[in-house]
Amino acid sequence: MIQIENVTVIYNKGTLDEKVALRNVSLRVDEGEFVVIVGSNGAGKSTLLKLLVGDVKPAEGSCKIFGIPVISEKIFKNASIVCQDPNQGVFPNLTVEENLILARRKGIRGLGFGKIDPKSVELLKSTEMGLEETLKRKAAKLSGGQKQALAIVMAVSSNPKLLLLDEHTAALDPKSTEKIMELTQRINKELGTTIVMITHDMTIAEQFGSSVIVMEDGRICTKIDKSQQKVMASQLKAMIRSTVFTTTT
Amino acid sequence: MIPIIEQGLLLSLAAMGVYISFRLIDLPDLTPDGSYVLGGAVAVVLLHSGHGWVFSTVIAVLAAGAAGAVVAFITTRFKINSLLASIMVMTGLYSLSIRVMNAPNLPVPKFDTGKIMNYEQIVGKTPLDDLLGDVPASFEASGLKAVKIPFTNLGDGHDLLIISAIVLASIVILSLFLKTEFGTMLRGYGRNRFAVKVLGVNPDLFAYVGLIMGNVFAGFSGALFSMYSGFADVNMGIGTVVVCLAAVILGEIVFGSRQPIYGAIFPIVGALLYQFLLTFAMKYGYRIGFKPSDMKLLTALFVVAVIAARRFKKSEVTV
Amino acid sequence: MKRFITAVVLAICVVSFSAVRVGITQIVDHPALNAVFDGIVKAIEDAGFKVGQDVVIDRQNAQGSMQNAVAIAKKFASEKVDFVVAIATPSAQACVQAITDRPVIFSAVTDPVGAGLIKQLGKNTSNVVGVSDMVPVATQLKLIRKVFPNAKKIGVIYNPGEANSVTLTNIAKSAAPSLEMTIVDIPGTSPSEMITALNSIGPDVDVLYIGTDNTAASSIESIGSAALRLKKPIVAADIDIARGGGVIGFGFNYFQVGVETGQLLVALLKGAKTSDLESHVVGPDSLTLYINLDIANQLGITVPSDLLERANIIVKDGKEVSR
Repeated sequence: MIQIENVTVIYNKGTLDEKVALRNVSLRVDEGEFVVIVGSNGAGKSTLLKLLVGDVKPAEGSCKIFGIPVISEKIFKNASIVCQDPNQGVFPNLTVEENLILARRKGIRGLGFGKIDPKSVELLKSTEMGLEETLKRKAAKLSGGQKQALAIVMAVSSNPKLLLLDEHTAALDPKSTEKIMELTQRINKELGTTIVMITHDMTIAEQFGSSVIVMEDGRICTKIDKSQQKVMASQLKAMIRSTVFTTTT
Repeated sequence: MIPIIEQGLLLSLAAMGVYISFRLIDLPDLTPDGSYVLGGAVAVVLLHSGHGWVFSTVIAVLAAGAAGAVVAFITTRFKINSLLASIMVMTGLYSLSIRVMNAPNLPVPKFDTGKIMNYEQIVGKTPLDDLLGDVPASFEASGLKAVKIPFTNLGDGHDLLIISAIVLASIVILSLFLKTEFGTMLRGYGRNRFAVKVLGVNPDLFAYVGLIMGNVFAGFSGALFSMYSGFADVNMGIGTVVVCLAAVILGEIVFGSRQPIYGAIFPIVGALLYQFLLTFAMKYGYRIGFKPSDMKLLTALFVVAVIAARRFKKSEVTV
Repeated sequence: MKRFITAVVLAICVVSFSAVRVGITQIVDHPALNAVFDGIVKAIEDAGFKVGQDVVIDRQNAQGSMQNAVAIAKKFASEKVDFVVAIATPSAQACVQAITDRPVIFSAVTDPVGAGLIKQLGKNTSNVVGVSDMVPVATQLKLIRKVFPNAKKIGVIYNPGEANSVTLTNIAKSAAPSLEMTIVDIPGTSPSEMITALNSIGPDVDVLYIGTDNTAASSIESIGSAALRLKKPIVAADIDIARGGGVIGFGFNYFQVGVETGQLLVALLKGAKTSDLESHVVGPDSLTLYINLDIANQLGITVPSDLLERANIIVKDGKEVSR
């Protein structure tokens, strides 16, 4: 589904702030995979996501999703993204119900009065965060964890083929993080959605996902397929710590 | 009493437009100072051409909406801040309105008039004529023809009925619109453009819709005001946005945290309040040395009083 | 004591009930419009009525807002006001629309027919009558030609947002060709805009003309200085504007306009009906010729002696002499 071939991304090319964010990166993600990306700050993780949504263009190489190069206006018709800030994923001034109604499909709306999709409510209920009681409440009044749960349910309501997660549990407390990750896993297992997730949390990287990618200095250092090899959090930490001291030019 | 409500309701239409741009879509827009005038100018010019008041108003409103579209274009295409873009358009509309009327002021005549003549033609001679020579200096322009408007200005409630019906219809249409999926996404856009993008919709669409709607309301208010007051004047829009913002804020204070009909009630209640305040100041202000220009101070005092009163009420409830 | 107080209170009540209430509304606080108000008051008092006693005036000011002008008109309509005087076009338009059952007197409106106030000058059957402040533009252009025989381009300084000024400028444009002159616009919606326009367009014209424009009037000193720097003479239609920096003025001042307006009101107070009275421009006998010899000398202008003889006001060596 995702085909990144020999991509190099350079920020501010030609100026003093020039930085090579991705160096000759190649990655292939198949349908149904749950890929976890870890790495230290500045390793290129966010740039990889930006590449996938078309916010940056490769200076060299190509990035194709569903076989066609990424066009930023069109990508969200088939993909969704949930970011670290829970406020970014929901419409805070709309009720939970209105948020869900809007999210059940992608694209321009008409002048009808939408109806809520019971499947979305079921998904909300499965998080056991009490969200099914909050349908008439404004999203701004939810807790951080609830907002993020809503954001994720919204993200998958329209059955996108691809879900991108940018450290989506980083701002949550441990209990919410647990519930959100369970939801995330369920989405991958039950809905079959392909997931690419960035995380800082090595324990999450150990427990979730079908493969782990370690990035450093704009390169993919390691790709570990969990079906072939067991991944330990301590292992990952060591990997990252060791490469941190590699000198970069 | 009746004229105060009439004018308050006419103002509320413009305030609704300001509410849409400043609050609903969060794109501050100063264009209404100009589109209010454009609405009046286009409506009166069309009345002079013999068209009915409904047709004239519709075209006036479309013209005002077009101004909003221009602001949306400049904002989204050139990534210029909406306030700045609107100042540019508003300034241009001043000249455009004068062009449309071919004058800075155009009346809504109730009767046919005779020809317009210059001083020499009216009076015949001046004391210096013997010194200045014989060159004839006459000027003539055709007079005006009466036009039909829906208002009678008799203060008997007839005009109030028409204006109330118009405002009621506007608010019903607006609230139904905001309830639809499209309208809901418009409201969402106002607080989170990113989420609109993630839903596969180009957020710029709502910049256009919101700014057009905001100016449609402003032009509507200007067109109706011109017909109500008997003239369109290029200076009649000055300060529109500021007054409407005050009205919106007054309305928000009155309702507190509640938001009936997505807040579209704020501009109506606020505009009526504002008009009452203004009239109160005009009627009694001179006794305490107030001038109409002190209106701003009055508004501030009133707002503080309302907040204080609400605070007091709240503490009563908890006790 | 009690009886005395009762008597006084009764007297006040009687006075206030029998006093005539006049509502006077002006569009903005401006010296020219204020002068009209003063002229009205003078006319009332000259006729023997005491202001504040026989005639109670409710003076309102729209502070430049058309919406306020309408609100004021509506206020007068709904109150016990016997006569309404509206100074300047928008205030007059608002009153004519809102008040149909009482006399409305307009003042300082250059083209009352074009503004939709009356059918024609002279007598009308409606409740509206008034005084127009139209000036003899064509005559003023002829005056320019007499003093400046070689002047071809006349720069008119005005605010395109003022209906009165636009009317006068249009009249000037229609009269100019037969006098072999061209009218050049020097527009500005604010005093600073006017001065900018003057500095950029001024050098290309021969003579500057100012009608009765309120914006120009409010900043005439700066305009006068700018014109002197450019060495261009100003001819004005408003004597107060002429005093601020003009070489020649031929017209009237707004106090006079006010007095003539007040005289209409007095006629109504004495029982006349609006249909008996005539809407008119300020009479030619009230036209004043003002010549400033000091500025003329500064600019090297020779004023023809026959004109000098006819001057009503001459300024020489800093002193103003009236004849």
